[in-house]
Amino acid sequence: MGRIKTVLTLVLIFFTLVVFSQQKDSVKVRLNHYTLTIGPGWTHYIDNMDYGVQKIRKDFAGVSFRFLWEPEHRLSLGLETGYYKLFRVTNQLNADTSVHIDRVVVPMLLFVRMRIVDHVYLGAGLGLAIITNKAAGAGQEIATKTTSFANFEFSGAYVYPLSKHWNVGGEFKMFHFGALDDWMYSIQATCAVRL
Amino acid sequence: MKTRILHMAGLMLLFYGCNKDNVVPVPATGPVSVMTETYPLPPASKLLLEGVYRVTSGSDKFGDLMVVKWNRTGVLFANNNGKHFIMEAGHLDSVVFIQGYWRDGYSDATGACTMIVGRSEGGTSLVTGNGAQQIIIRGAYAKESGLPDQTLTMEYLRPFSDKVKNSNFYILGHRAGGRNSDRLPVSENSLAMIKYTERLGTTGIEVDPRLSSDKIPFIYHDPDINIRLTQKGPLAGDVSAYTWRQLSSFVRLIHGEKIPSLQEVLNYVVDSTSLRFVYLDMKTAEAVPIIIPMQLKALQRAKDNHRKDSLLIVMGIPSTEVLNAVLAYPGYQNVPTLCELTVDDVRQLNSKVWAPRWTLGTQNDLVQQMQNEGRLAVCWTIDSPGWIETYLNDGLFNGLLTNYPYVVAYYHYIQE
Repeated sequence: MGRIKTVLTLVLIFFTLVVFSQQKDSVKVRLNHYTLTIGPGWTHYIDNMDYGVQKIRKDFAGVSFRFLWEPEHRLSLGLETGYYKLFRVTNQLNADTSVHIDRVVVPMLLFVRMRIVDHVYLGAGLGLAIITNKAAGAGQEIATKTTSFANFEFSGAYVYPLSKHWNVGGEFKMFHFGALDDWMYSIQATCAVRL
Repeated sequence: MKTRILHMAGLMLLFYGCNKDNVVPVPATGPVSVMTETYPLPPASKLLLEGVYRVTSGSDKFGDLMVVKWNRTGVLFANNNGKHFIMEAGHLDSVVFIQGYWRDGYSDATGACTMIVGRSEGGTSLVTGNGAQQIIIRGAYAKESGLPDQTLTMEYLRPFSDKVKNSNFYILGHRAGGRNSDRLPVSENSLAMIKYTERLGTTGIEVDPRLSSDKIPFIYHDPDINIRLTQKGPLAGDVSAYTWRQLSSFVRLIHGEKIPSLQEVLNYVVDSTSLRFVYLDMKTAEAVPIIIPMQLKALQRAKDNHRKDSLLIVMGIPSTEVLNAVLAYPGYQNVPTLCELTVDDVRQLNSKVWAPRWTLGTQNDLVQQMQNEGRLAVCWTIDSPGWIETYLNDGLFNGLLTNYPYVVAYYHYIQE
């Protein structure tokens, strides 16, 4: 028992040293910081529907928000959300009646980003998404919500620092929402503030 | 850089490799089928062909014994490990041709199969219906894709026992006869499945009624529209939130069929099948007062079609909510019901059928009590060959609900 305690103490000391050795003196240059990014842009739904579509609109405006912890290393970690309209399907039930079906998704992803070369980053996200389906027409509106548990995102970004606190850039993102097998990509202009 | 690209390509392949196909393809027996040249066998010949066969060649794959049983559209060969043959048969002169495919119900293995009963090996007897000759079914099966090249020979061993012939045992197919996860060529809870399931050996079905927002009962298992049950389309979420018109216009089941209304299902069963049992596994209590009149009307339709004694349509009661809804219906004691709850609930409802979960055991004393009271007892949902054998040999149930009806068929028809 005593030996286990000794080993555990040594392991704890080792990891503590490793963690603290990664942090540099933050008095002169604060490398370990947080950023908040907003990314409005254009989204495109990749239509893989087998049935039930007469007319579909696949391009919309969307927006993302990302909060990142950026230590002085290549990897950053954070949370990302957003609001994307995937499609609007318009189907004619008969000569007088048409139905509009809209699908909107709000992802909530754990996001990891890595600097590849200066200003260029690759990222990946994994997490939940709330998918809202709205069918309207023939005098009624039906809204349903689906929670999707298996969703991912891949992204590539170029970030240009304007000042010590502000960055701008562009980002390409590809999403997959597992519950309903929806794919979309988005090209966004990003603006980040260093907190 | 090249290595990175190869790694990326490998990851993509791995990712897409996880997407399963929805169906095990039905093997073709060749460019030209001999069956188009044959004539249908008369009913007496079909009865002669039925029975237990010894597998004399091919037993390493299909076991030592095979049950051969006719259904409404063809003939089923079933063995004890889930491998089964879905075949058609006809005769040309005195030779009986049997053609179709085999499938392993517990895996994706499948292959074409072509067999004959020669003139001197039972063909003449079968075609004339006199039954004097020993029947030997010879032919070949394909191990995978391609033409049949593996020998399969089966020799008639005995007819079905009197116990089997005199029993009114129900082989009930789950979700209208089979699940999507078993990768059948038709969708679960569809009219196509009801048409297909008799080929798997079922004599009855369980279906899952729900209610659309405009109060039309339809058949669908899950509470939501999802890509497990449906082709990908624009509707999603709670299936009962949509009107019947929206569901029938914008949703297709995984193999392209429409979601059937309960009315369509009941009419189809009564008019176009030989099924003897329909188990309406109620998914919502709200649907009870709407479905009971439809159920009674379908039973009347069966009576008008001279099927009254051979078709039982029961409302399944899986929960106290549904139980209370049935108890609130005027004259509920005259509504044919199947109660999954306690025997006291069965008595209170005057249910025709008691249906306990299979994990509760054979419960022979309670089953016997129910049968002594003039009721039936069926058990749900039992899939493992070992348990199916045990329940058929040691239990007293009048039927089993299963996803593997051909396994139940084997263990039922082979009983001595």
